[in-house]
Amino acid sequence: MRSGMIIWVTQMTLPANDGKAGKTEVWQGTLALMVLTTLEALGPQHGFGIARRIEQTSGDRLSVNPGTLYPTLLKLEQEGAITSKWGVSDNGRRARFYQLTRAGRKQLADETRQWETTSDIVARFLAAARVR
Amino acid sequence: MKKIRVALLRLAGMFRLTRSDRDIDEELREHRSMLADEYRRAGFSHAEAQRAAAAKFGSLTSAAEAYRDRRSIPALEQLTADCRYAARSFRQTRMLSTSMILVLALGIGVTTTLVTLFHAVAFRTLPLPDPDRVVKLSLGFAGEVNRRVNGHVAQFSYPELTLYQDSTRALSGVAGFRHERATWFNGGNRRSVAVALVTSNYFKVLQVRPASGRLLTDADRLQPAAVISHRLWNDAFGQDPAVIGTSMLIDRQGYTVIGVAERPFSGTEVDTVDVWVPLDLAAAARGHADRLADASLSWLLAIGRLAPGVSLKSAIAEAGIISPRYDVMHPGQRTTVVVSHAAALDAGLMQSSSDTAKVIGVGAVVVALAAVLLLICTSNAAALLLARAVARQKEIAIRIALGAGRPRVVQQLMTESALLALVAAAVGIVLCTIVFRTTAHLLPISGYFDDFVPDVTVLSFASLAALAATILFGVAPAVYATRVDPLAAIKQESRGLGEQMPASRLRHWLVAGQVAISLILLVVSGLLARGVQHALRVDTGFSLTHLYAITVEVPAGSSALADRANLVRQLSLTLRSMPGLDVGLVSVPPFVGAGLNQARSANMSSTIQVQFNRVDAGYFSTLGVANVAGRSFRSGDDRSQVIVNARLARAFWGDERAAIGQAVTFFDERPAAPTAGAGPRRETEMGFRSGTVIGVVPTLQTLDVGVPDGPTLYLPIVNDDLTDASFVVRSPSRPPLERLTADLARGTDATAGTASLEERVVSKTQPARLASAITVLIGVLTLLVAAVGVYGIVAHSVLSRTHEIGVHIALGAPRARVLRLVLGSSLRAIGSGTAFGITALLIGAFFGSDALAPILFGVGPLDPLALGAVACVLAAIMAAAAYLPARRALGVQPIDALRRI
Repeated sequence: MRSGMIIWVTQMTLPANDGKAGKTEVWQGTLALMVLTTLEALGPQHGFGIARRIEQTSGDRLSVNPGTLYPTLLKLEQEGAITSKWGVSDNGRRARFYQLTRAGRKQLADETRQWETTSDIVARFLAAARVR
Repeated sequence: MKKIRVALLRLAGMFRLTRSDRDIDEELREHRSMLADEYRRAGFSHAEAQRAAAAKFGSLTSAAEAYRDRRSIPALEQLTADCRYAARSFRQTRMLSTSMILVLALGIGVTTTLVTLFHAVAFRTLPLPDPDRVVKLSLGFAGEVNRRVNGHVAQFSYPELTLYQDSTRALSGVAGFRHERATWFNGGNRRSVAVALVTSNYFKVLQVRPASGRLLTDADRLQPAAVISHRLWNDAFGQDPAVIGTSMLIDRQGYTVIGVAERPFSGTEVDTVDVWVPLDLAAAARGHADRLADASLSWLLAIGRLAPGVSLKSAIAEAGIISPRYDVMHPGQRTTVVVSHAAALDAGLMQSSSDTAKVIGVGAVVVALAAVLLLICTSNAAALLLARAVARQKEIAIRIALGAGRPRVVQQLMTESALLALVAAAVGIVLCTIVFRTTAHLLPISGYFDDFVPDVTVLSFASLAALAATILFGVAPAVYATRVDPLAAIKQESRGLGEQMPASRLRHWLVAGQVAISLILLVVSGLLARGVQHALRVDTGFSLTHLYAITVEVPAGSSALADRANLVRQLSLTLRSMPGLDVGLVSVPPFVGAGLNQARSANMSSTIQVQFNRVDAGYFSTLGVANVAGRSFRSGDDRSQVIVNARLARAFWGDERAAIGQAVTFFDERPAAPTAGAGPRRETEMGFRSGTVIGVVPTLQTLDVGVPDGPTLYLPIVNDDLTDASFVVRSPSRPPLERLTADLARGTDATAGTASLEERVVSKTQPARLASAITVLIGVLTLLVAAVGVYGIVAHSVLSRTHEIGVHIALGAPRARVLRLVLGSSLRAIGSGTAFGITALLIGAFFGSDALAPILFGVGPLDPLALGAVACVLAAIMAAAAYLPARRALGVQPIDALRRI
């Protein structure tokens, strides 16, 4: 992700009628990074679990739309960052489990580093502005 | 790398090789169920949990859609779906689709054929490495020109060529060559071959590679070595590698085959070469050893290659510097050397220049007409598609109502058009290939189209034509069809006014355009046809019936001239002893070519170029030409007596009768002046001499059809000067002449032939006749296509306006009124189309009559009677095409029509 992507946002609509007016949809560009982070932390996980974990980690301030999550998962799989296979969940439900590959770990490390640099720079600008 | 991997996986996804639809649905459904489980664990009831899960999850359908879009390439899938839909709808309207494909295929095929032909003639590239660095050189003269010409006056002599070779720095090499025809004696067979006499650096300069063996080099300069062309190797030797080292007897010289040239190379000129032999040796072997030393003889073509890094401009500048050295060689004469690209069309250097120029002129016109045919075909298809689109409005309205964006529907309609155009282009290419394969032998470029396989030119042009066709005939109908109000269309209320305004206006212009173009094409093709007719009837000044030319050819060799003279003498005796024949001798028979000379009268300051021929006493009487003044030649005349034609007489002395007794100076053999200093004494030399005019004959046409002779000078054939004579014979029948020539040639290696001059004239008009036949065909096809188009349009119009017609009839409108309703707009379109066509023709005739003159053979560009007749016939046919389907409107039963609400 580059800093340009912070400006490129999709789906900034608030979910219509479930009363969670405060939650924002996840920025699609950053969703991939969050998925990778989650898989590194949790190990192999299914789509529902990944979504739940992301929502929890954000302190329930983000809401993950399945219509964007699954295409993102498929994209990551097509890029070779993750693999998937069918399995059985804790509740006995059939689910597709995703896990990181070695390339995925490397991609995660690279993007994390980039994010940290970017947010560091932005933070400095904001601090400088606040000082004025 | 990642992008490629992703792309490949998405491509695989298109074929459902990755995630299946079922897997996707299952995965999403399980996600929603896990959500429901969570809500139940939180204390919701079963039903409430399901509802909450559904609300949080969102739409399953749209999530699945997004998932599937990521799996494959949506744009490609849309395209595939459109294609399949298009194919299905074509199958449902088979007749309409087939006729549209045929119409388009005709347009694309004909245009492709003609453009390929034109491209081959006009933009021929030499099959050599770096062909644009190959240049040709030619000479231009001013001042007192004493030049002997054996070919074209712009050609080089051998010493001049050597001078340029030695002086040039801008060209890495200059080679000289000459094309001649010869006979190859192969066992008992004789085969006419095209021989090129080349300097030893020819293949090196052109950078030709051998397909087998090796090519001529400096070492072979005086060797009887020969290189054969790939085509000859294929046709005569079956590509047998053992041909290297064998001997070929060409005319009277044996040559050893040392190699075969690479496949596409067959010389640099339009006429293909079969055998290359060394110039130095072959010229001598063919009896022309004296030519090599002659510095004032034009007989060699020169070709060279620009040195690396040198531009054509530098080479031209250098030519300007070298030219003055030729003036030292020829005092009193100013020579210029012209350097130009070898592949550029230069009519001046080709031996049949006027034919080539005419062919190209005709070709350009025919190509333009074919492009117009393509335009008509596409507009025809557009009109038919438009009619079909109007009939499909309900379907389109439903699709728009269901949520398809207008661009999406337009995309689908354009895909249909593109599919049609592609299929039509494929059929068109097949048509083009068939045409070339079957007519290859008629085309002027010999050997070019023998194994015609559509090459890059053809394919790219056909694709371009298909693309143009798609855009032309697809866009307008697609856009108009989608400009529909869905609700009104579904209810069919829009039929109330008859038709949508924009659609009918487009239709009006389409029909008018087709009518106008058909009219123009028909008139032009009619003019061409009449022009050719006129040419065939042209008066050559003498009667062609039963007139034959007998020529004797002897293989080139040192005794060739003497052998030929003997044969001619024998033939002359035999012919004159046969009863009922008129016989004359001439050095250049009619329609073969022209001898040229320089001549002037006593009161002219410089010479002008005149045509030149040697004839005997019987020539003019055999042709049936009577003197205008004076007398004809008789025995006892020698070179001091000359005959001129009326044109020369008028140019020199103003009047035919005034010419008698006048002196004319011209270039010819004359008694040699005693030479001071060393050197062998010769009896005669070439130079200017004078003769007295003893007779004037009318101006004939012996050069070319439709072209009167220029000023012409005739010398008598003195009895022992039969070396280059041929016969003109008027004989009531041909077989005795043929028997005679066959008997004469038997047992010798000479060939003697009888040719009918009538046939020769006919064959000279062949290119124009071919073109006019093609144009008439195109004109008729265009008319048919336009008529079918008008029929189709009116038929669809009737169909779509049935409701309205029914209402009119139910309300009591007379049949005539109904007809007017249906036909009105079509007839108006036909009328305006005719008016446009006539206007365009008038404008074209006003501005373009000069350009078209050479191919019209003297016919005026606009014959009012012809124009009027064609316009009437055209309008009548179109009106009939419109009337036939309109009659069906009369048969509409009001109650049926009204029921169709």
